Amino acid sequence: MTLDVPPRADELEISLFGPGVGECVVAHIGGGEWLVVDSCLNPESREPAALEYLSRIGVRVESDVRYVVVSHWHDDHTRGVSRVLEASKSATFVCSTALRKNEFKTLIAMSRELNLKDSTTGLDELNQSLRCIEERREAGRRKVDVGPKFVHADSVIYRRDANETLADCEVVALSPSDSALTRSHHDIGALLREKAAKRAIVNVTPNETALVIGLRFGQAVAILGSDLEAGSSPNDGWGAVLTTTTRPKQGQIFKVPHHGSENAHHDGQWTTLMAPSPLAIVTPYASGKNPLPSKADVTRLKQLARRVCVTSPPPRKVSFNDRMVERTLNEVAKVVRSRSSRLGHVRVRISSRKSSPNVELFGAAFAA
Amino acid sequence: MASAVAISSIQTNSPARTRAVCNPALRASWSETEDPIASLDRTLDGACEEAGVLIGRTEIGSAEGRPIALALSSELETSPSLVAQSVAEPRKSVVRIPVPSEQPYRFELRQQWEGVVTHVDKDDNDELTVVLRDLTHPEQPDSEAVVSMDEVSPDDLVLVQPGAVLYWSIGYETTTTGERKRVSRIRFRRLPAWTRRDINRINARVAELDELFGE
Ligand SMILES: [Zn+2]
Repeated sequence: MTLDVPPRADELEISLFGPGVGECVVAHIGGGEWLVVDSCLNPESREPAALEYLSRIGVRVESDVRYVVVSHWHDDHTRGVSRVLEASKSATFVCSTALRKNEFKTLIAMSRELNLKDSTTGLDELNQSLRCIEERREAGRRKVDVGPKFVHADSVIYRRDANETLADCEVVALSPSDSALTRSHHDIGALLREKAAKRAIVNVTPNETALVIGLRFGQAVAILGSDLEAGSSPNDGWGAVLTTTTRPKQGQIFKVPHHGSENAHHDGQWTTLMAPSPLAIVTPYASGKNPLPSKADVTRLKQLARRVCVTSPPPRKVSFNDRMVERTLNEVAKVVRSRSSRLGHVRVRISSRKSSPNVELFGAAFAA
Repeated sequence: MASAVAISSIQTNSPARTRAVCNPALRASWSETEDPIASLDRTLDGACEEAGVLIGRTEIGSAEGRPIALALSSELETSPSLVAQSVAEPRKSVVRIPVPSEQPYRFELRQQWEGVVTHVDKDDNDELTVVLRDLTHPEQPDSEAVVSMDEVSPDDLVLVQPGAVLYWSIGYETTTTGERKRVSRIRFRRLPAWTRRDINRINARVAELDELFGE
């Protein structure tokens, strides 16, 4: 199959993009309707991966993308999302209820004043996305259509009934839990009180309020795990996901949470949420001393999944033309490497009637 | 009045400002339930009173009668993006005191990056991860380095946290005696303290977001 061929109307498609550091999911939920969850750029073109792909397969982004979702505001999930939203003129913007709290509004307003570099926090992309929504609302469009739509565990994002030609479809949020939400705004508040007065940068880890999404189109089921971590109690993290009542059963495709990290592993993901031996798809987080997924992570996933597909290989070392610079850099730094490798794309298509998924790998993507 | 420079706002890293913010009496006003910005407002007021700074007026002074100035470190000279930023934001008025040159040597810059700290590992290995944008060869893609905390100058250690911006220069230094050596220098950007105007803008944006998010 070539890249340019769009899915059939009755196929669920999950396309996962990753350039080394970054993640984007593009999903076809039947009948030519699409949603985009998170965003990353193609390092070569600097264009959002979602937009490049959708236009390549002939999707009319302005009318056919129904939802643009930000699962959490880390920059590896938000790069270019404001451009995706701008192009998706009919889409509703969806994000975690965590963003609705006063503490978060203050954080986002402060981040704008701090002029942080776009490579640090995803808050600037969120700011721009909110500007785009404001413009749409000022142009007279309704909040229910443009968003922001705030969702948490057991919120229904989209529901479509079956008709003669199409199976029914449901897109639901499986996190964050009430407990995670309460703790998160308490944490942000405390950090603001501690650091804001000094104009220090307030760094908040949003993983615990990340949005996990369950998609069901007929009998085809995918779970998109975002960066949600295991959680410290059964009331948050993946423990809480397992207690949701709206979750689709027998997941076949699992976008593995937090780049395959051990800290996002929960046995219940594999025993309760997913069907036996599902397909696991992963984006790496090729950064820091211990890039994700580690070799141990890949080994663990291979024992649990029928097949593990990763969007891009570990990053390359960088070299400099100036020998003196290279020598000095290698003396001073413990690790020096390229921030982005090539964009990889794992595409999974599965009929809404019971069948097994068809996997295709493009660009840098590979089967582990 | 030591300085007659007309400025409409001032940010200062002067000891008075720092003391004021760290003053336990002021910190005690931060309560668990209170709006962070409201308490920030009060802290700022207290800090400014203590430092003898009048915000929004054309005259400034300090308790000691010396001008209060914000000395930004030397990396400003070579950072195009920061220069662009300061041009785009006239509100960031800064009083500079001429500093006698402390450079009896020549520095031949061979490579410079603007870096952003993405991760700090203080407990385990005492190292930081930095994403580097090449200022010397802007067409190069970003790279990333893991650096030991030892490479950070003691003055800058408090600034090391995710989101912090730094400038990393590599070059040859030639001393007055003609000695030539390779040098790697990492300096962190210092952010000026919040001003009344900043706070007002933050409050205004929070109000807009209230409106946008609705109930
Ligand atoms: Zn991530």
